Amino acid sequence: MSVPLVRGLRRGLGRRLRGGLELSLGLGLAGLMAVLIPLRDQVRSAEPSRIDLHDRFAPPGTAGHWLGTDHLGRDLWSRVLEGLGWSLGCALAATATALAIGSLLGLLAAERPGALRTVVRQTSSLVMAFPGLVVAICVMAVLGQGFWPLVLTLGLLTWPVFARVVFAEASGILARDYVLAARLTGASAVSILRGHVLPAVGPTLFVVGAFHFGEMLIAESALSFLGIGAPVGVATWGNMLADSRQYLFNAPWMLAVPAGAIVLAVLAANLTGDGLGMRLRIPVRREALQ
Amino acid sequence: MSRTVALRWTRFAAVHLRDLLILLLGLTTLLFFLLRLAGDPAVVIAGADASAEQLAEVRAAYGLDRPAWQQYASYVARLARFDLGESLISARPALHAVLEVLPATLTLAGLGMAATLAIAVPLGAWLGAHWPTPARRATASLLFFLQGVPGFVIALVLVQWLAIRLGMLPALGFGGPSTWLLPMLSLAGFLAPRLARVIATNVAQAMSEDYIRTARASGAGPREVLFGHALPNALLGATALAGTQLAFLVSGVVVIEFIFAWPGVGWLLIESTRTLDFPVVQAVALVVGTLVFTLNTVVDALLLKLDPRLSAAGSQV
Amino acid sequence: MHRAWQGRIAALALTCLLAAPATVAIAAGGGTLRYGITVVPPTYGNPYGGNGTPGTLIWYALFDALTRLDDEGHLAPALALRWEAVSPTEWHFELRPGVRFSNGRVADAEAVAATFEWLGSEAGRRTVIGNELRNVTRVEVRGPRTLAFHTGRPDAALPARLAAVLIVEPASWAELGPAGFAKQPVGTGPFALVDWGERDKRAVLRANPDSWRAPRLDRLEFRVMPDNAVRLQALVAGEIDLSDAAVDDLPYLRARGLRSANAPAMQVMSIALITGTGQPSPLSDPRVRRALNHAVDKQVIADKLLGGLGRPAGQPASHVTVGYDPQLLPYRHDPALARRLLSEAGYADGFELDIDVVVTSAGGDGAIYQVVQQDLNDVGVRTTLHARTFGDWLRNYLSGAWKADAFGLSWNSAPYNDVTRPMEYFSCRKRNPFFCDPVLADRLETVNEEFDPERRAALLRELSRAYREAAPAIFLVETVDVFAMDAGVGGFKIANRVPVYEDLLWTRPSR
Repeated sequence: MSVPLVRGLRRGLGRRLRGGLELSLGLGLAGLMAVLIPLRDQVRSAEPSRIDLHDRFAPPGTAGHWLGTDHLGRDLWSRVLEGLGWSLGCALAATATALAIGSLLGLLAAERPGALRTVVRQTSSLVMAFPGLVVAICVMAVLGQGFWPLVLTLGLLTWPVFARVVFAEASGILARDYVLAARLTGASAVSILRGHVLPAVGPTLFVVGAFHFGEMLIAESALSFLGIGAPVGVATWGNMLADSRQYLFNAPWMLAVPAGAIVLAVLAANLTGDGLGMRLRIPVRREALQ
Repeated sequence: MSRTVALRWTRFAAVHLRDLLILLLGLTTLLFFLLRLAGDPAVVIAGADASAEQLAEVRAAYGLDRPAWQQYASYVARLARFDLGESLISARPALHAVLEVLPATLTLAGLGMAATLAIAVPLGAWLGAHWPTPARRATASLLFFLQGVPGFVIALVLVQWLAIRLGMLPALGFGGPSTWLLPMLSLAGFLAPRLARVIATNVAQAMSEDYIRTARASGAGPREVLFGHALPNALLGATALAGTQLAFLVSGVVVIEFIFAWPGVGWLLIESTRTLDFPVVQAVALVVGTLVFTLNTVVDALLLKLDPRLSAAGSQV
Repeated sequence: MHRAWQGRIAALALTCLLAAPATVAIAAGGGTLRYGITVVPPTYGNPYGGNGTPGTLIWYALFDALTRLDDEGHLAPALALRWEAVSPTEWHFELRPGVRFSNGRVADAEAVAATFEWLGSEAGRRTVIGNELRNVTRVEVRGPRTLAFHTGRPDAALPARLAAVLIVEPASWAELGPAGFAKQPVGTGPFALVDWGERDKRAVLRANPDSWRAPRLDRLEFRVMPDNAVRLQALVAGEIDLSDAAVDDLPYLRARGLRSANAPAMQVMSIALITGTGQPSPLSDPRVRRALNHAVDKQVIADKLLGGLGRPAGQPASHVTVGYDPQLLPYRHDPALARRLLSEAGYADGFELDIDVVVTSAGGDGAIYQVVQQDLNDVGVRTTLHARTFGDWLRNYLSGAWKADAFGLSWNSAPYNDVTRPMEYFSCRKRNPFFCDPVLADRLETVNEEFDPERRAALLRELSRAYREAAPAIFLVETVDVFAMDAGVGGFKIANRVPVYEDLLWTRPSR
């Protein structure tokens, strides 16, 4: 087969399918989860936090507990559903926080070269070098454990990802001729940001945000695994994973159920991100979780 | 080296040194006051049965009774003389505590990165270089799937399957090569899918670029096109991610260290934070911060050298 | 393999060099035992930075105190052979003859007195152990093997208290200082330190054959593995020979040919109900406190979460502790009664209860707290658990500045297995106590002035009854220490929550 033919074929195929499959799979999965959140009381098999010490370590397939029970005899299917709201909500709120702080600072740095840009740059590298675990422990000591403290911790630690992306995109746009022209005609900085920069940066933010959401889910589980994440006893996927660690050998399903849930949710986020990126032709370079 | 190039590198070094100092000062300051919110180390030193007088004595002995700004000033003054203070708990120099565990973390980081590269580069090249076949599609999907698995879940599954189901007896702790396998695999299992995907994308992109066509037209074989032209460019594009991953490893992957009883900086950090051993927490943060910064700078310099289109500093926020 | 060789060489050397019959028993043992522990003591070989596990896990191999608890929890001679109270505030201790430190120095009255002198110094009093000795005003050398202890107030529990004070070799201590000594500790225990092994988290100890409790092993290795699952797996894999274990893992371990042992931890797990701050609170009403005790099903916790090894608790002392009254039964699990008591107190609709807990990575505590939470919710007390770091918990505990209404607390009678210890610390005698009943505090004072063991025990039982009635806490369960070990480990006994190191032996030639 000749090279141009291959390239042509690839391009044609690419246009037709560009991101379609990924996007529909990702959004489908995400939609399914979103639908399950309000319906969880209807589809669950038991009270999610109801402890029954006479029914510990029931394996998957047990009558009444199709995913089994944990070390306190709680129904894993009901808990994983309960965790859906908590864990996804936490990841979503953390992503939104990071996105808000990051884009604001990124835009500011792009719009105002000089001292402000330097400050943003230094702060962002400071945050990236900062030991996140210490922050998590300190926040826990000061605010206690809970949904919002965890969101705050994750948001405060990860905004530089967005700041960098927004800065790079926005400074490119601000250097364009039509923006310079708009500026010369007396358009205010705010209106330029709103009219030219935000529409251009928005799609990228969406894509980066989708991936970030997946990373936040993993981060929640890692912090809870170390005992510095979600509050004790609350059904979150991270807490469920943390519980499973003690029973790795006699109840492996305690690991499999929440791990499966996390993997599916991250998959949904990544598929959506990838699909969106392909559809909008945004080259996105993902950063490893810091 | 021409004078302008030398000048450029001098400026590069100066800018980065300044940034490092600002970073370290920022780290110190922020940590100092944040940690003081977290608790009172005197209660940990004195223990649960301490009387009020004993607490007062402990505070006086460690200078914890002075106003925070005074403590901060004297800490920074000592820091300027490269004195990181002593551990509040063991009374040993805080820097020693960090340097003791650093080899373990660096070994783990080196091994993890080596395994990641060993997996990701060939896999990425294979995936990106050719027309997708079912096998490649399946591999790509698997990588995509693996990206969603938290690293410590990989570690726990590895422990469970290798150790218990398959009857293999991996050694734990930081010792000889037998102790390296599982932590290495866990880290690579977490990092390699990401890197492989980026490399694959870059290779695929490079394969459609003009210079590849030129190379092909001038009679280069597929092997030469891939290894001589496309892959090097793809790797250049992946350097930033690999650098980030290495920085992540160097800062101590605490969950992996916990699971494999690997005595590294992540472990030290969480232990010293829990016992409110402030000088040690600070020392860990400063040493790791310096390391990560240096690493990033080296990556920057590398990119700059390889791709002179990038400007020296200030191109990024 | 190396184990067998070491054992044989050691046996050979001992039988060649020594002919005394006592050494035959030693020669029959030998070998290395590897013990998986969670953490090296933060103060390393300085035994004054803490007074319980994890520190004592290593310190008891290196050091001795004047007295010690035997494997049944009774006070027994250690460096001191005999002691008596010559007056309410003066005790005489007679030391064991011929004891030497691992560096050869004789452990005589001068050497022992030096330890107490340092603990009485300004730096010494700041330590956890120094704080235990605040009532000791003077320690005087009355002969080469005789010491006199003078106390400010009469203290009948002094010999038991001294079981917590490990004796260091004074010349090394003076020369190296606490931090230096911590790295190169010298004591009279059955083992001597070879290397802390910070780099590979493996502290190595060698036998100290001249110790008065000479060991049967050649070497003892402490392998640091903070994660419970990791220790378990290491045990199954034969990487370590001994470890603590979780109750839930025992069936799994037994199925793999491992053995287990357990001993009471000498503590009662509880939820302390804060009443001492003077703030108005539903908990100020004793009926409410008793209601909460009735609400929790302790039996099912003991049976299911402690595998039947723990016991439901209803008083501050565990059943092996001095002061325990076997007549006192735990509060009966009776949610209806609990609700009735709550209504009588005016809380028919319940109330909000915030509990601060420290959840260790081992996780067993967390499971128990969650069961308690559910049981309290079921009687209408809407309970929230707040996990705290230990440092944060401790700050609140010492300052009394709790944001919560209650907190997780162990009534810990270790290290000297006497219930006066937790009673003193959780009483008006502490500053900012969570519970303060002046009458009970006065009665505690009388107990410490009673030197006759029988009468003292009777007074303590009465006091225990009063504590049960007052219900300063929701008494939950007596906890147990569980150990798991390779079938090749012999001579395993537990004293004061720690293996009796001199008796341990390795019975297999090789794996």
